[in-house]
Amino acid sequence: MKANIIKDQDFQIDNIDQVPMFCEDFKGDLPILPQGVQDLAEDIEAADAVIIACPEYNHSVPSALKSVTEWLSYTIHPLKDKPVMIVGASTQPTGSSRAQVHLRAILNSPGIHALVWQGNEFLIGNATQAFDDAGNIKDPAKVLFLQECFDEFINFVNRLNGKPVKKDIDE
Amino acid sequence: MKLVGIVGTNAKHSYNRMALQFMKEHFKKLADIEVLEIKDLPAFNVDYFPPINKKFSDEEKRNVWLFKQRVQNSDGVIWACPEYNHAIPAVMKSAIEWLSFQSTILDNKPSMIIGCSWGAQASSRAQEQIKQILAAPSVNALSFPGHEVLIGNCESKFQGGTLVDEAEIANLETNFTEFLKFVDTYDNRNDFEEMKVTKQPYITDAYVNFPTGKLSLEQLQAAFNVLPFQFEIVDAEDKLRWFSDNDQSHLKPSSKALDKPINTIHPIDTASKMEKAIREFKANRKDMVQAPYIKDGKKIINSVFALRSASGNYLGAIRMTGDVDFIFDMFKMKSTKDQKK
Repeated sequence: MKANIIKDQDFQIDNIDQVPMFCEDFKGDLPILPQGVQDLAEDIEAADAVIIACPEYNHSVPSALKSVTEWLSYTIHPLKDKPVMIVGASTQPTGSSRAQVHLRAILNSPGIHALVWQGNEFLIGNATQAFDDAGNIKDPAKVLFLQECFDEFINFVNRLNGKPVKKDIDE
Repeated sequence: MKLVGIVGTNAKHSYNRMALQFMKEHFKKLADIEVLEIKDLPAFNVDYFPPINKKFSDEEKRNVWLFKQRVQNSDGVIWACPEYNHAIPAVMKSAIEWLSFQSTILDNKPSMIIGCSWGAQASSRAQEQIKQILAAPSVNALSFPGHEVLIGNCESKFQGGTLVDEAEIANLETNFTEFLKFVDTYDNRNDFEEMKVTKQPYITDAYVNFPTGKLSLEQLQAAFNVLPFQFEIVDAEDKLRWFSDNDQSHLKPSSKALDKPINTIHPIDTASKMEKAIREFKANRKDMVQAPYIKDGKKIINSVFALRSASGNYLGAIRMTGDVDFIFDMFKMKSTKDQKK
């Protein structure tokens, strides 16, 4: 997306490997948030919108990602009212669809209260064959669809901010 | 029966943990419930596995191994699910990932789900989610259907660290006893029912060593499927232990006859002949009894042989029965000549 799709916006990719497993006892054991959580929360606060790339483990959201959502719903809430787009890839043909259903429910829950973009879902199935050596999506139709989804998402963000929207995206 | 109760959180204060501890104590006469913590497991990360092989500390390795062993050796699992953001906690999902990634520990594992929560929803959304996770092919657990244990508004239902609410206790009793029956059904099913349906021996890659060679269980089963005789083996207590499974045999007993005494499975005259033979075997007066007969014009052999160990102990008896007209017909053929010339 960074290389091919997102042209007019400032975009950075954050990893979650520095975020430890969520534990509600941190308030007693660690009076300040772990550094990995703080860094991620700052980036989310500063952003106008968030894109989450969600793998599927056991028909659901990986525990590492669920842990991040728990940190971001406990004492701090940087995702509240934040526009969020979900994308996902999987080696299965279903392309992470079931994980995305669960992630949507989690992001919609009261403790997080994100504004999740609805409608089209972007799913890459059979992921081992879907990318080339440079890491780009091989299928041009898929790339086109991703562009449409992203443009719709930007419209969504703009609508929420009272800004003008682009018409006729899927023509 | 050995069960494990998995505490679905790493928090110090947990009603779900209290609920499992209550179950352990309250049901101690019905089952041995071990309450398992997941807080000492490292966060699941695919990088621990090849090709990246991220390193564990020794303590982490041991914690993962112990957890997996305990779940594997149990007859069933009780999952105690808190609800965080309408889903199960990440630490609980991580434990499931440990049990299911490149592992079949949860495969066909009977699973009961309970959950406590402060609110009226009583962990219902988390329970729906975990059912979907347990149903995923990578996990393939046996979720106990229908019965639900949802302890909502839980603060008032626990006192002194234990469950005190009468209605919840009654509900738990009903559900847990049903779960025990569920575990029991699947315990027995694993042993035999599956084999009946798929016509496979239980262990397909085991061999039996004989003084005169080695046979796989599949070869043994295949051999008995084609030999033109029906075999039955009774043990030293005169119960039918096994019979051969030849589709052509019209003398095959019903599988419902297994583990039953001879006198309940054969018609009276066959049974009493066999019992008489066995009395002779046990008294060491005979090793073999032949009782052929003719039925509907067919010649049928009916022989019982004593089975004895190398030291002479009576192990049981094997009965061989079958239509032998085909043998007579074989020797009537012109191509069958006397080999002596």
